[in-house]
Amino acid sequence: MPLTFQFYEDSNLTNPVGTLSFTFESDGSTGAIDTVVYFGSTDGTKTLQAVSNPGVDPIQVSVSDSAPGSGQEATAVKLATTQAGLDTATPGAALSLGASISGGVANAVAIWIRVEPTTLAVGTSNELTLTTNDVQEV
Amino acid sequence: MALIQAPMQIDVVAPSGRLLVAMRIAVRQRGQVSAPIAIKVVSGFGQVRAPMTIAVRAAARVSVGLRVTVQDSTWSDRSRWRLAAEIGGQDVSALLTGTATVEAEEGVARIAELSLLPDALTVLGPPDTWPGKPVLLDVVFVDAAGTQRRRERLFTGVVDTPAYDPRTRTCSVRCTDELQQHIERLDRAGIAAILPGSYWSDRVFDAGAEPWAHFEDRLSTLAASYDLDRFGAGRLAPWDVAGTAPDWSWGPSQVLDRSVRIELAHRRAITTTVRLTVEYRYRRRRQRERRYVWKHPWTFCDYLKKGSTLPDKDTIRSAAAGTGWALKSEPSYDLLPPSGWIRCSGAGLRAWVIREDLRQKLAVGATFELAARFVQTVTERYRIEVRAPEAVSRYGEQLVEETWGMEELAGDEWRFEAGYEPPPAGAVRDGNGDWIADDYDDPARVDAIETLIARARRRILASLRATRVYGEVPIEPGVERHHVARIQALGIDATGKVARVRHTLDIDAGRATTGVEVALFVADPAGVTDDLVSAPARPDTLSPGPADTVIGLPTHLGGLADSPPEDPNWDGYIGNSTTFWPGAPVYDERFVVKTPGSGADGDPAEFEAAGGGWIPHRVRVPVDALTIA
Repeated sequence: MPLTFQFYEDSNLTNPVGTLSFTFESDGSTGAIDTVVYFGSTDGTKTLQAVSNPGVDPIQVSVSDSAPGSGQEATAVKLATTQAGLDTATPGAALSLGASISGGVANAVAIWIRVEPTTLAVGTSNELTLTTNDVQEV
Repeated sequence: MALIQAPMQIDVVAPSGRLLVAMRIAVRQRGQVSAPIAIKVVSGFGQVRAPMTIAVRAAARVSVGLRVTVQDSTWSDRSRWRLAAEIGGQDVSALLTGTATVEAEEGVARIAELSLLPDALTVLGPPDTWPGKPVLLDVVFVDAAGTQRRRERLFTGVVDTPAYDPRTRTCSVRCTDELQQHIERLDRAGIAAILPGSYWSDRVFDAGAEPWAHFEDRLSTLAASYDLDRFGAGRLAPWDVAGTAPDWSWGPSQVLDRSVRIELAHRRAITTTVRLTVEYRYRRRRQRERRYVWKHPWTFCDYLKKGSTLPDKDTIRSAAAGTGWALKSEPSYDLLPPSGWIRCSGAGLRAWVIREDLRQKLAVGATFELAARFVQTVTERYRIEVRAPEAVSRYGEQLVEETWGMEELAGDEWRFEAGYEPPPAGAVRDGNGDWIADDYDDPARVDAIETLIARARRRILASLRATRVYGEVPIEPGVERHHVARIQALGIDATGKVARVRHTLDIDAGRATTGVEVALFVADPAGVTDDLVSAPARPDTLSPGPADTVIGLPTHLGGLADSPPEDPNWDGYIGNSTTFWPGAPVYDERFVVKTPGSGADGDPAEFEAAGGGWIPHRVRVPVDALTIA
């Protein structure tokens, strides 16, 4: 059975995120781009936990890079649960969302994302992914 | 015999969400899922049973892709391009065929139309499953070697309507940016937040309107448009861009030949003046209180000399209570003097003897207060002329009249429930002495009138930007409806807010263009400044007075030489002299109290704000640059 927890564009959990796109000018004029997504489930009966030690180990969101050394690196991305938190977040570091997340719109978790390219070489990088650790719904 | 218990946990985990891949059975002392096992050995042999719970849960990772594009800031070549499309997370760029269009017009959803090769069925599944799938459409500009230099978004939305031709096995897809759904996800506070400066009144609009209708109601009070940009973000764009530096400027070398056209405003469609007649009708509760005074006309010495009947206190009270008005308090009475020697001028001392119980019963004077409640319908009328003088000088007076009515009529009755009650809190004294309490909602009145003025302003301004200039240029994905554009070609030089954008990308011909339509305000600038949107002051609805709240009750005595014939309409005390004049009429003794009723104050009343004249509200017309050489 697929998980009901997803990333959404809105806090009402109505628009699942397809691909998060960020566009920058090669002259660096764009600067960093901040955006927010919401992680949650519309099913209020579900609770999400880490598989490794359910209810104890944290659910984590991290940036994985399928091709390190080419295109943009994972350190191009900062994660935080508030926009202000982006200022002090460590580039490329995982974000902990707690040992469990309850389903339901009211329990959705905001995840702020700041992208600042590690290279301004012209091109499109698709190798970065925002992903959780192994999780299960109970 | 001993009872042995061993908690057991069996976890079956499917790491990838597929059917069982690996199974791990762990027996632990502690765990989340436990299965107590009881082993009971009886007489040396028997069965061992262990109830077990096995939970199979899907384990997976939740992921979302990040696409980071770095554009060549210096790249301006639009001649080499390819279209990149993603539907439902699947890259269908290679399946695009024919001509793709993206059309964005003020106030409506952005629409993209694509054609796909038959393989789309393999990639995306049956077309009936496509509606609602997310759609991203980009145009990628490449260099001569085919290397991407810039990738620009054209459209962000969802599949609205797929169409499939089974003969050619080609699919066409109509996509929408879901402007309406974007709004419908907002509550009323959210809608107000995206439309700052808008007005709303439940006396003008439907209080139970759905979010989209509520959004349209609010937007109808702003001289602005609200649209989603190519990334799906909402943008409120004021129509007034006069004097703003253009975001885009295209000259004759960029504007495609024969694409330029101009559409001038039809005079008939223009509105320069809106005359609003707003009637605010409400219930006015009146509490009328009157003080009644009756006094026997004779002095006591005259009474002793001539003699007359006297009313008793019960008769007076009954007469007062029988009016239908409420007795504010018990009447107070003037009594005959107690027994004793009375000195009257010219008559010396006289003995006056009266039983005390009789003296306490009769009255020679009485004072009491009566009160009644009634309602009056009051109408305040506001005549407001919303007018753009700079447009009048250009087009003449193009007049529209609107009449609006609002009511606060809670009922046509207002009575004392159980005897006299004081005036309601907040009641004020009318000039005629009545206590009045209006069922008046001034914030609602102000909101309604300001909303109507704001709507009229938008109506005028919307009609005055009907002049449009259109031109096509090599594709410019970044043109948005909240931008200002300048088009110079074929003798036309126009700068205005972008009202429509149409991207056309002919994949087979390799031709990509952007059509841009700008809206232009046209009027004769005369330095008019906008009046603030504010409701006029209320008219004075109070009576000037004078207050006449004391009613004197007369005395009519029969049996006297000058007693007139009895009149059944008399009020006050009607009695007789006890020394009858021969032939004089003898009256039917009674005490009558008449109440004044509501009179004209119970009739509907109308009051005109500003003396009934038109209250002016001026609208400035922002004049955009337009030259036709």
